[in-house]
Amino acid sequence: MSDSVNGAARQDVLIRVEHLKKYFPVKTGAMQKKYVQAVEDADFFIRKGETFGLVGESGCGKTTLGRAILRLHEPTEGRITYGDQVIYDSGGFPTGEKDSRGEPVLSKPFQANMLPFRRKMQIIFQDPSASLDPRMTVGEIVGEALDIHNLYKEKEARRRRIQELLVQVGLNSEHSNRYPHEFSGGQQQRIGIARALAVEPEFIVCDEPISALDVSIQSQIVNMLEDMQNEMGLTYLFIAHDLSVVRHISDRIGVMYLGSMVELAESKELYRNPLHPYTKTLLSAVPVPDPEKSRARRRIMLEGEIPSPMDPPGGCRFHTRCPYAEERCSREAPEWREVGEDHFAACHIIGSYGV
Amino acid sequence: MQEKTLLEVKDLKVSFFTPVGEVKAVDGISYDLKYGEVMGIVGESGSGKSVEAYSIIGLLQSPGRVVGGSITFNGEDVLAYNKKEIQDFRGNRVSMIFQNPMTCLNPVYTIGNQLTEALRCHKKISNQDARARAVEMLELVGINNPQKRMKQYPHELSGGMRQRVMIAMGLICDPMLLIADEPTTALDVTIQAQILELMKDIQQKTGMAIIFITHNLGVVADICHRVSVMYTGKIVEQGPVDDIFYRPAHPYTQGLLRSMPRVDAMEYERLIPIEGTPVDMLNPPEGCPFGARCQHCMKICLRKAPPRTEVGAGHTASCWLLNMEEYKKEARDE
Repeated sequence: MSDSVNGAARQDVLIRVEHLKKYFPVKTGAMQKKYVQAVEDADFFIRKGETFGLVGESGCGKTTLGRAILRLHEPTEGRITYGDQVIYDSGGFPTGEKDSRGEPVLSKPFQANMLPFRRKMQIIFQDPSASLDPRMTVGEIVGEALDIHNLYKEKEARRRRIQELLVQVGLNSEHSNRYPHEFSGGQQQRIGIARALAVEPEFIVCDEPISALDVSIQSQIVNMLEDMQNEMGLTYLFIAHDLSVVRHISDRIGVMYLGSMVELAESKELYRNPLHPYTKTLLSAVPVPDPEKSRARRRIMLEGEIPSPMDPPGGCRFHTRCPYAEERCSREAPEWREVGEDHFAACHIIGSYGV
Repeated sequence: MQEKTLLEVKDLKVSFFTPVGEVKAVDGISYDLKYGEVMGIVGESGSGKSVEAYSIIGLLQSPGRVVGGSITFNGEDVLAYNKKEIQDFRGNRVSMIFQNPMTCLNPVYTIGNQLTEALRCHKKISNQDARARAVEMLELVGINNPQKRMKQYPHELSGGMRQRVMIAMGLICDPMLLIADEPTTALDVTIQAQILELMKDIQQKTGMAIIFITHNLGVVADICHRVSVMYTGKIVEQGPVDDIFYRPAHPYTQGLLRSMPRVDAMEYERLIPIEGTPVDMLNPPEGCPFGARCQHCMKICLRKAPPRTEVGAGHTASCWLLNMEEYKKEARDE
């Protein structure tokens, strides 16, 4: 990441993720231990008030990355900063200060107490029915966060707040005494959203919030998320595999493949001018609801399947399937670099063929 | 595509008799399918699109029952088949591929075993010939090293591979009709693109007809010749794929197309959702099923179901707005 971008953006950056790694241990034999490299060296920032989209195929680590930022999964390595407060640091990052000998001081490992941050950072889950406790009423589900953070001490005020939240997400205030199974999928997702909103967060991770919903309901939820953002100035990390939805809702988009981020750009720029071969493939694979365009379109077909994240290919992780791969791609991992204004990618060949 | 009709479904009604009441999952749908035609059936979950397919192939399970209508395949009445006849029909002349390739392959048998089983059930064929044919099919669906795959178990293959095996299994007896029930929904977009290209390719080579069930309009635009749009057990609109996408007549189809964000959109446009929630199938409303969610809803829509109206060549839709004469007659009668 270049300094100019960092400098210009420092004012309004809400979340900064630096060299974040998340490995999950897997036992493969009695003595052997392997790791699923779910997220490898993610490095990006999210501006205040924007929607940052994260796309990729299943198993590419987008959900893990979203949860690691909230520290629902404890990161393996890296640093996460919220506003100007560090919430996780595995150590070794320059602090900007110098010691008596003029050497730069490196940061010490640090793990913040998350409770105060939980009020600011919330999450909406993919499967609305699985993420609501079937034995709690809607009022209890939404009110639980209020109790944990001690927000409303008076019973009456607490009750009013819960009803207000339900109305805000398009439900009735009488719904607070019902149980989750009495609602349709779209309504359950609204309950999940009300729960996230209860503590008045600034930042919400939306982890595939609409993939489980019917087509006619999806747009209702998308519009509601957009309205909420406009009213409350929320910042979203929007994770999805549906590229049309991500393109619609996001200001900037990161594309992930096998644990690594391969390209990041403004959403319009990414769709108009995709640079990484994987992004190009992904975009050409999205079905377009237009028969004539569909017939005219040439698809870039990828050979094979995604390699196992337990044993990712060396060099560029995409080289085994990349139509442009060269010898060097299998040897050295490409550097994450700025390839255009506010447009980042990790690929050796960008620029070399006028790509 | 030929002009001869392969499958004719007429006023088909399927109900599930549950303890809490009758659910009319399919409520009087009619269509015909020509030889070599690809028909898409789109609809939301619970619109009856899978139930309709199950009843064609005789896989409907209790408490579901066909309560009316007829299904004619190649001149024969499918609903009148006895058990033996339906077994000969299913898998041989009509076959089906399912949404989830993980659960539809038997985990304890090898791929080769499952592929040849289908063949040996239906054809008099030696084991050796059956295996040769199975290898040929695996090659056709783009599986490399088919000899080795024949000896492998489903868990050793990836999701995309398993769906290819499902397709190979569906095609192994050279069916005249393939019913594909959401075959790409569980797959990633790049794998989905591979499978769609494969199905288009095979369809052109073999000339079989396909009923393609999906909720993804993008997939429909890609592969289908004709489309039926289902809503709460009824076909609300039906027509050639271009008509459905460029001249949608029914408010539900229009709403669906408007509510979808498009990856090829030039500028940001706010989505126009279909308001309301899907119909409760236990207590379906009177009149037009879409009435309560329709922005053009009139009094008559809530009372009487609209008739099917022809709006173009082979393009029909059921909506009062499209049939003013009938509407006026109805209004006069009151």
